[in-house]
Amino acid sequence: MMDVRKCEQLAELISAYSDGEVTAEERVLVESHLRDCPDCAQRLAYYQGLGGALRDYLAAAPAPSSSAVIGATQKGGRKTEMTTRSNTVERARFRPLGAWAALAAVVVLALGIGVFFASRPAPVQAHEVLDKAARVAADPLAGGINSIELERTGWAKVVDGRFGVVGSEVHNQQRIVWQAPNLWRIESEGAFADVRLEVSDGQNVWQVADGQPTTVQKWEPQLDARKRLMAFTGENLTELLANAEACYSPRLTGEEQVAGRTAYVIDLGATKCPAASGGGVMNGRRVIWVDKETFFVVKSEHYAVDENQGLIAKEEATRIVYNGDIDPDLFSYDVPAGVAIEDLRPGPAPTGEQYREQLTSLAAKVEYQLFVPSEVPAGLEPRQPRLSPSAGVELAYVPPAEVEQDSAAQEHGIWISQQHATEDLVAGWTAGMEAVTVGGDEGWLRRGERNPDGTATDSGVTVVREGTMVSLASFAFSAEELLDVAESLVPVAEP
Amino acid sequence: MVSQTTVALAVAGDDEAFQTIVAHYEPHLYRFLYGLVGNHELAQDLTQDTLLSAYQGISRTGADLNLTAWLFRIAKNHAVSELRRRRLVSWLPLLRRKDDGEEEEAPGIGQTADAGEEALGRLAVREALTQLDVEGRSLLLLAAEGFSYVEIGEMTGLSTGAVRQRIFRARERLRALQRQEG
Repeated sequence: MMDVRKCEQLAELISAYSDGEVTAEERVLVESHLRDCPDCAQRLAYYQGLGGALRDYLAAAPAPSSSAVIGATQKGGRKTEMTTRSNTVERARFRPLGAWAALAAVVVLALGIGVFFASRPAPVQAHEVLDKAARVAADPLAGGINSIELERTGWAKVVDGRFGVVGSEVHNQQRIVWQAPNLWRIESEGAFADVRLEVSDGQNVWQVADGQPTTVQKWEPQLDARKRLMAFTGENLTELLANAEACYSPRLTGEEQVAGRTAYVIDLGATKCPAASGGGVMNGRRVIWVDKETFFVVKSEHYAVDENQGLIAKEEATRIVYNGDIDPDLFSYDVPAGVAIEDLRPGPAPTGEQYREQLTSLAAKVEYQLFVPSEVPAGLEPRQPRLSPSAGVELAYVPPAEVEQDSAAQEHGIWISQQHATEDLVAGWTAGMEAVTVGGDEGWLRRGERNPDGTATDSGVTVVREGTMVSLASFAFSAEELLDVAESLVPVAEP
Repeated sequence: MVSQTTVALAVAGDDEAFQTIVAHYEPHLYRFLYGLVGNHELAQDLTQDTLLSAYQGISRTGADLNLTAWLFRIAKNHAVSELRRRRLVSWLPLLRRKDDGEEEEAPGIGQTADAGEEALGRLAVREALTQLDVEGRSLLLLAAEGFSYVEIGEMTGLSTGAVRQRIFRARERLRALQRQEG
């Protein structure tokens, strides 16, 4: 029988009962009343339906993405940035009675909420940002970028002796002006600025090398100019982005301002695709900042594998102008009077005899003994050898398809540079390498890492022979394979 | 669940411990705040504010800190001040005005339908929540999130009895509005 007074007395208890917040005695009291009182059973069903609807409402809330980075201005020397993680939390809960009613309520309610959520913009996901960034990295035009003026600063801790004293810090600055499809001007200062000015006028690429102010090098713009834009700290960001989903655990951790642009912050974490041999120095956590409007990568951070060692590299745009008016004079280069032009455009593939002649001719030009592998490494063919201001005599053995291109030889083949072996040069190039003996001479070996996601360090062998430092490098060949090639080095006879 | 050791470490200034706390609580806090303010971006901002306040203030607490209660209290306080500031801009009225001539019929939910349907058929949750004050709203959300009345009491500074009573009142208010509308 329904007893209104009893219902009023028990109403609050029924509410608590729906939350499982009653004592055993109260439970008996409530349940016995509910059996005889349809009104109170309905009240309970309402409470349960409301609770279920609230949970569903909360569960359907957009993902808490951009709340995730805290830029804390912290006292007492605590870190100034903190990253948070989002995940969905499932929770089981005791439901005493009338689950069917709650279920029905939720189903009905879902109709109304569906309309509400359909009108909301979908939350942005890390993978969506990365997809777009990868497309823009491959082709800025895809992001609506026809031209760009970019100033950026780079900082790195030296982890490879070829680039400085290991553990020291280096800085660089670049000013880049690019206009589709193939006009660009890159001014560089500081570390990694062997080429301090590079201008593509659409026909030729002109380079003015650091320390060689009287030499202008030129070659046809076979380089993919777009990759130059995306070459943060010398790496191929395009490949990183293309593999970001497969090889990282990207999380959108917030939005930040970079050079006046709002950028998504994507914490990629450490690579999940390390080389089988593991332990590569570049396998640490990566964070990139992607312009919210153009999806251009505007900042990048690279952490050490051991997070305690912190950042090892950082590059950040300090000024960005998209699609602005660019002075066309910036894309032309007038060779100063009296300056020699060195034409570094790759020549046609040499025949065996031509190659020997070219080597002999180069040997006569330099003051140190030149060496050459006794046989061309299997599957590769030689490019014409050349003398470069920064790396001495360069020999390149590449797959046949690349012989007449200007790609980096070590990418798919073997690159060999030879220079006069000064103590400083050898110390720099061999820092951190493993000591080995190469054909009875002092040598060094570096085991490279090539991660399936495209990040890599090259393998290398360096040997000092008869006063010449010969360095072999390759991303495609192992240190042992390079060692075999180094063992086979024979002197190039002068004419 | 975050261990009391982790809490103690965070109180002592260990950033990694605080990261653990953030990883665990951020989704809970966000959902709670989303329920309170009904707006994704604002909820995100408030979650960030909450975690930032916690980060800045945790060293002034003690190792025996009741972390859950403390964090949700901060979250609610942030929400209350923000909503006060914004004057609930994003909230819609529960009931269409009787005099605006555009009131719609109930969408096919009859008076004899089962209790759950009667309770909620015409109320979108978000709209329903607007009819409660922030306290009532936060109490219902915390209960829905599975916190016990004791825990909710610790978060809100209310006695367990008061929590039970106010949750009941909030539910009854929604039920009454539903009946009024129906």
